[in-house]
Amino acid sequence: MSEKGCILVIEDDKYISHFIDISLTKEGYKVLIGETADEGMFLFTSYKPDLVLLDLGLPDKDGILLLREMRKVSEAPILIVSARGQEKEKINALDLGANDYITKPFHMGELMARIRVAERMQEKTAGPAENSVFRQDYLEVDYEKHRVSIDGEEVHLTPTEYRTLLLLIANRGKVLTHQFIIDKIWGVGGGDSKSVRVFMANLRRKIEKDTAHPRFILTEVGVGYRFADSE
Amino acid sequence: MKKKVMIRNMGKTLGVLAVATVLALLMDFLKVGNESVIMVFLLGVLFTAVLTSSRGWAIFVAVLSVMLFNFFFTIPLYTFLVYKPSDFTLLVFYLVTAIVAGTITSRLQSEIELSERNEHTAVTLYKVSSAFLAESDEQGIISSGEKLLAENTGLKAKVFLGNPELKAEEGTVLYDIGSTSGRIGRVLVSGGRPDELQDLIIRAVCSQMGTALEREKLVTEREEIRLAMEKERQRSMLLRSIGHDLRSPLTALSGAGSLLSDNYDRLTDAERQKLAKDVSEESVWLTDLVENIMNMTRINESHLLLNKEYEVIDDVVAEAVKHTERLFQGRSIQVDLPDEVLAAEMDGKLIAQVIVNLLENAARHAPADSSIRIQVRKENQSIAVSVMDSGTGVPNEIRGRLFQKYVTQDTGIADGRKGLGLGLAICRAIVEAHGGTISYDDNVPKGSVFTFTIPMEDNA
Repeated sequence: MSEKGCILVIEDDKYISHFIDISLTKEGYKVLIGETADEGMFLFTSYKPDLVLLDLGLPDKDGILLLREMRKVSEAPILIVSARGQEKEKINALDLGANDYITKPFHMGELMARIRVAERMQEKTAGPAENSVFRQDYLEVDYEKHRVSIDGEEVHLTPTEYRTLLLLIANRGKVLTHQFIIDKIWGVGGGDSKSVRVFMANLRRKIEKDTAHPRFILTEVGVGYRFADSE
Repeated sequence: MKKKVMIRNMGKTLGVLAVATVLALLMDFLKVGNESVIMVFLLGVLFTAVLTSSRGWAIFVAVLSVMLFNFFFTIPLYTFLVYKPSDFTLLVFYLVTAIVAGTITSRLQSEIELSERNEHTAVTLYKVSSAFLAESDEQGIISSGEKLLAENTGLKAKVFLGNPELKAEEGTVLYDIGSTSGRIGRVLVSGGRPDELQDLIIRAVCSQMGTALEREKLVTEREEIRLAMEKERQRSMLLRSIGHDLRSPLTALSGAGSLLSDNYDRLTDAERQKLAKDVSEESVWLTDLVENIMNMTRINESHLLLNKEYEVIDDVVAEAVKHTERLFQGRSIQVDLPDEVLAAEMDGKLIAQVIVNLLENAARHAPADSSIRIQVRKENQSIAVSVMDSGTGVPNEIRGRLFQKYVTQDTGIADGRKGLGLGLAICRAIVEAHGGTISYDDNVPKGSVFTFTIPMEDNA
């Protein structure tokens, strides 16, 4: 617990930053709070935090601009905190290099999970390759044999579906925008958001037992998809 | 214009004269007396006066006919001389009579013509003034004005509203459309310079158009004011009911919060945990309330802004179910999805909100052990989503008003929390904005079924 990193919270609402501060400190993180974009940028450049929680609605500057500035100088994970119903802003932020977002109001548990995912993704880029078999719940993916099975029974996926599943698993816990999936799977300009939605619905029918309560492929309505994180 | 009339009148006059002369010669040949022959010429003068409506031409014929008579019929023949005194007096009296008769006839004739024209003008003006009464929008007024101008003047007219930069080019004339608040538009008339009558008609049309447009503007403004007032009324109703509904959870929240902070040491662990849990649950409820209020204001403002994307219905249903699962502690929501992937253009967040509201309703009104089912199916070219419960159903009294704002079921809610009565009204507004329908049915054997549809894009 002691070797946890430093998290910068840029949030103008004192109550929100207060409870985030308490919970993160309890988890063993070192927490910095910036109440304005300027203060946030100052703390960011001087302390080089391991992770940033950025509220988009700041009093002195648009959070998106701040995100841009931070991305220019650092690759540290940035999580966006935004209000509901701002899907366009979320997508915009993700496209500009934000790692993930969380919607207000959120539970602390949700926020912790996002932070862990962001940390893990960060480690993985440097760490060793994954195991040859991915197992979560009743889903099993054997990378070497290209085999996907549900409760031990093989399901047939098309090559595109298989690649998509791998992409989702590789980024599990993190939201992937429709555009990101299109670019990765069909190539830039290769698909549209209509077909990716139908495609994902079909993939879900193959690997989910109950599509109304998906265990693996979660939809972020208006934004994209997230592969459920088991941790 | 003048020249043409002149030439035409000249033709008429000469024609009349020629006919009269031939007739006179014929009569002379038949040995009819000079006194009778000259009557033919008198007739000629009268005809000329009628045909040309001009005194000048009548006099011209009178003088000329005297000379012709003199030439052809008085002795010595074929000269302009007169020997007989009787012929001379005949000629003099004829001339006087012809001039007087011609003058009177021509004046009468032109008066008849004038009154005919006046009558025509009056009829036209009446048509002009009544034409705009039936028009109820700006475009209608403009097009009927242009039509009127074209029909009654034969000139081409084009109406421009506002204050455009227009120049009267060769062969075009500009007229202003005025109203009490100054010029509100202009009419560009092309196809020739309008004469007096056309000018009169154009001016009349312009002024009637100005009045009609102004009236139209006033009606629109009044309607806008009425709508704004209605909106204001709804808004204050919304605010009142929000205020009312916010008070109780806020009381609970602040009570639990202050109890925790002030008496922390005196509370047992279990009590503290219970209070904290209350705070958290109560705030979730508040969050939902705020979400609904936000949607409601979105609906009230500018006729609901839809953020449409192509969504698979599975995703939307799953989102709604995820959001409401905590309401159904222990109870399961059964979801029937068709094998076919159904998708349509929709605002995913809002449609999810519809399902959430229906599920919340079901959770509120159905007994704790009842089951809740969501059924999705394809119906004609629409996606139909039904939310079914086996609760008490909807009482007959409020069925007809079910989807209206602020309708709530007053009885049978244990904790006294009523909700805003906005849920179903929001559902209806959202579904209708998508071009779908929402309806209620009884479930068998008991309970209720709410079904809404969203049209799928016709790809065929």
